[in-house]
Amino acid sequence: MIKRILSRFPVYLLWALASVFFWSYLFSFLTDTSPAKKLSVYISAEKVEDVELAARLEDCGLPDGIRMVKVHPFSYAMFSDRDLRTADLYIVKVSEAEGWRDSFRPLPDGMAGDLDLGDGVQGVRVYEAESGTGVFDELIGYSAPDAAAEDYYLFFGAESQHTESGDGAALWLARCFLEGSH
Amino acid sequence: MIVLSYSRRALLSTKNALLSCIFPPLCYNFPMKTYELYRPEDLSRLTKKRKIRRILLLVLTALAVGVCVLLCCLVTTRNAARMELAVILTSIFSGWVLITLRYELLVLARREAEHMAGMLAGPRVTRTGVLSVTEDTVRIPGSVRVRRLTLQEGKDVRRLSVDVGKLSALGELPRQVTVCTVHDFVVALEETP
Repeated sequence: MIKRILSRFPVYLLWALASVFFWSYLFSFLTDTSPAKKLSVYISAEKVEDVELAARLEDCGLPDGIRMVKVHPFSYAMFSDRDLRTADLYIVKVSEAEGWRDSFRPLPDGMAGDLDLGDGVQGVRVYEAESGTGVFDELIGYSAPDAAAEDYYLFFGAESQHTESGDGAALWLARCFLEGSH
Repeated sequence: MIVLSYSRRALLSTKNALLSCIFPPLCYNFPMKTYELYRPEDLSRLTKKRKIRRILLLVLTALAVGVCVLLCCLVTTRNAARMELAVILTSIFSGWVLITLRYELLVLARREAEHMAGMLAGPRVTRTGVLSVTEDTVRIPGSVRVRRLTLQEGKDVRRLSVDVGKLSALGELPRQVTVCTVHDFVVALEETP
């Protein structure tokens, strides 16, 4: 019987491969959705507990029409920057903010900025290097041991589909993020 | 002494003898005990067994799919990665078990049933000689495993086969017998005085 089972090894191998591909493909639909139905945050920190942070942001209670929140480090977009360009929020260190300036838009009415990049584009400070405290600092590795500590700022995405003229979900996400850790 | 593998052989041989009086048999009407290796009731029993096994396999398949679907329904942002791994592993291992069961319970039984049906329906030929068993066992592609036999008819030696599962029904070999064959497969055996 063992000999018979071993003779079917290619069938078992094919089944295993088919299972991996099929369920991975199916899970890509379960765990992701179109940009119109999700809010995305890109963070330029080395270490980000993306799953836990996304879950905590979802715990705020998602707005109507939004199915999920996705959080990614910038390195997630190393093969394609399409998702990165259309992100709703960015958490960027001060030294990199100018380089990403074209991806940001002015803050919504009623929000005060701490960093002005010109043309109305402003960022809200979420991490202060001097004091070493920041929003969700238990989940976001703002300070790296081998790099100089820098302030981090929150920016709104210029190509976001969830602006105030739309469903306004990006503003909801920013408020949830800024208040979520308290 | 002959080793009898079927307990109801005596009864069956009487029945066969009676039947052969009414319906002329394809095989010779043996004057003595005939040991039929393939009987229609065995085929119907095997067919029934296959049906039950097929239902069992369908239930197990539905169960495996159900578990995978249930795990998919329980996916949340926090557990998505763990659930994906759990679903993939469940799918792989249940698939392996089902592939094994399908082959061991269904495919082999189907081959045996097809072989048995062929043996029951095929044209029978009677031969007499000294029947010996060889060590040669082969699997007929897509069918049963058979053991090669030799039948010495005077100076001629004829190569015959028998389903490995039926080998014990032939009793102690070599010995002088009359065999009934279908396509050189032994389907019945008769002691030659």
